Amino acid sequence: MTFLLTKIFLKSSIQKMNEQYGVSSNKVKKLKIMLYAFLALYIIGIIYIFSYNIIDGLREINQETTFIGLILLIVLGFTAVQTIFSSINILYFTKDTDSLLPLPIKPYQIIWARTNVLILVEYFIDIIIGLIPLIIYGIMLNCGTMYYVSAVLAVLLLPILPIILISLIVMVVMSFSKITKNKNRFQLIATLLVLALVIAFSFGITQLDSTEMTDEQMIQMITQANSMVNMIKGYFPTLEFGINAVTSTSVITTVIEFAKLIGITVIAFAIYILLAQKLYFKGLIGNLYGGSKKKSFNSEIKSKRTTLGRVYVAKEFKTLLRNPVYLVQCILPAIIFPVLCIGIVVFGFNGDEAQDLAELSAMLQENKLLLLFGIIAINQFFSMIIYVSATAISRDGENAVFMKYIPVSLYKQYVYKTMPNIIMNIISILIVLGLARYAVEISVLDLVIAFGVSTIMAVFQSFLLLLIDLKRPKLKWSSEYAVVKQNFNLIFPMIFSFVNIGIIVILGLAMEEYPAYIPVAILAVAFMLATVILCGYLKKNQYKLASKIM
Amino acid sequence: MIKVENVKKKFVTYNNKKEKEEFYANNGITFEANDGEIIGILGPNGAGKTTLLRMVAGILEPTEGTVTFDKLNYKENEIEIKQNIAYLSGNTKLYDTLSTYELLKMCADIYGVSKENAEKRIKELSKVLNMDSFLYNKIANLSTGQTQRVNIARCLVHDPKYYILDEATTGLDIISSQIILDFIKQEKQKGKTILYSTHYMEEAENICDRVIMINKGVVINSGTPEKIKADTNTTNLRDAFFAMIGGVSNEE
Repeated sequence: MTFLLTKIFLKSSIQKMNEQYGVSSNKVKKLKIMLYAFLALYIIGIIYIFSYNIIDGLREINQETTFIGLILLIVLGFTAVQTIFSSINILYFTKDTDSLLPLPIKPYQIIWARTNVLILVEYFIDIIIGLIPLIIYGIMLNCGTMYYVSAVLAVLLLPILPIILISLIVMVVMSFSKITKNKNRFQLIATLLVLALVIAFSFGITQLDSTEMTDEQMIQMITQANSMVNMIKGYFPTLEFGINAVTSTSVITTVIEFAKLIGITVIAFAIYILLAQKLYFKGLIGNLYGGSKKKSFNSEIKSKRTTLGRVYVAKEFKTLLRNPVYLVQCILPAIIFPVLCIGIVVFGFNGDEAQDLAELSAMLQENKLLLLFGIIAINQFFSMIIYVSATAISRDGENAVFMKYIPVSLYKQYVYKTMPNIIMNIISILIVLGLARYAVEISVLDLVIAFGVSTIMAVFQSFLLLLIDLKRPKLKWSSEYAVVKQNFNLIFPMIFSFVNIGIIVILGLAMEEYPAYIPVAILAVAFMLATVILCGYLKKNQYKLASKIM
Repeated sequence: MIKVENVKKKFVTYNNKKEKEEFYANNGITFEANDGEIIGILGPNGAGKTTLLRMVAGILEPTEGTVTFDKLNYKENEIEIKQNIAYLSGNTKLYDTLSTYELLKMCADIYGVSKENAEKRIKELSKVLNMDSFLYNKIANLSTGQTQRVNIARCLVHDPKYYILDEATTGLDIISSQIILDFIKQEKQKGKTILYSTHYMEEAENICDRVIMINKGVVINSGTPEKIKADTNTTNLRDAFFAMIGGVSNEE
């Protein structure tokens, strides 16, 4: 039964992922597979470079086995952090629990199956961050088959103990807390924390990569890492058994160490199941049937008299900001990506790279057209990840019909729905301009011109993307993920951005002999005219364009 | 008064062989709803009730025929008509990241209700529809019955003249249903014109002054519940409906 339940839970998770990430046409499917393959290769490439450099450095000072301890420690750490969030999601935020409870299934079977799913989910990350570096280690040091078998077993067995420990802590917390009543807020905080970790990690890697390490520094780093491994061993004895099993060259030692590891894991798992039966359902039932907070009517609440446009745009922003899926997919990229990409270039460069940047700055001083068009093109590049307009209608789903029975003309509503995209573009533009000002010398006038032209282009693109969403709205969905993931419309921001960048390049090349402000003015006027024509089209066809909303 | 004259709505679908097929969801429907009257639009699932009400609410444009509100039509007076309409469809969680109060305030602003009137109206609706306990709770966290009361409140926050309520009580418990039905009766007393679609025949018999029975896009009978029962020689609207369509059939 436990195996069957695990299979069902896992299947429903995969099915949910398919719904979220889209199983549409074969072409799209192939494109997605290619994209994921590329992403996987990219990540593997980064891990390879990272592992290679460390192993190589450690080999020079005959400390290469430290790498194994370090990687297994990283696996433990990552698993522990990840489990805090994934255990809440898998154990408490699954919709099928209420239909499972009345079935003749024993409580321990549900817990066991859910924990299995949790462990399997963690394996995805563990294989990437744990197994790949260990395989690279094996290849670089010509290790035998026993090493690879031990490495696989260690990566599969080690995460179990932190997973069940964290899950137990989560169960205790959930028995008392009201987190489940604020599911959206929790998921939002979790996502923001993960994003913060990713950003910190990216900056850390940049700093680490750009710093030339001396032998003394390397030894110091290893000593620190070793002392950390030793400290953690005290709390997680399984780590020691895992490290011993993988590093040992004796078959008997390896078998004994694995026997200890498996023994402790099995005993811990049995205790976990026993305790979880007492704790899990207490929190779960609170989650399923928890009531809502009560507040009394406050007639003193003061609200400002606001204009229709402001109300409508505020409503759009509230939907975007309060829904974690929309916040992460539509709003945050406009801020995070410019900061991350340009920030790494500007602040992460040291030594020769900083010198190159200074030379680039000097060169741009002499070529104003390149400077202005470069900044405008960068802004266009970042606009491709702003999906606010491209999902403006789809986000409302079947409720989009609201637009058709309120006493506000459809054209006005189109304009209001475009505003958040324009505002997010402007924020992104301002970040780019701020960082550009820091990195290269640029006059205030040129900053204003770059801002103006980029904004004009952003306005045009925002309306164009709304038009696309009006023509091809995705109104039937059960999860918000479908709007931002399983939506072919999202390819259009990328297409339009690349087309616009192409226009900028062609115009720049064709008019490089002219004073810089002439091609920039032509670009601005052309996009302004295009916006006027587009708005005219939207106004004239406002009812026809809404025909798919019903 | 709402006047619906010979309204037809044609849809195009594709069959298994991917051949184009046309069908009429509504095929020549005519009726009038007077001030202070509750008109029940009755019929089974797929009869064409929702399509009819969506045309009346200005969401769909009729393929043929006209809909007028006190002689005003959508082509010339769209905003004016919509300013006076309350349209409610099924049980939806509109903008569920907002609190009940925020949603009602937003709707009041969209309909141009002044700040003072909006506060007064929200307070009034909150009391009548028993929403005080969850007025500041997020809509996503409300029960089905609570959500539906919020839906009704947001449609009525601007104090409209015409109510178009499509299956307003579907899926609700008897307490929530009764709160809504009592409210509709009260609004009728204030002279509002109410179009009320349902497939609960008993409910229609209880609150409607007249009913229009639709099946497969056409009106199969209309009049007061008593008249329809007399026409079919039955004692309730459920039996009357079966008598008119010739019994229960598996055919769709």
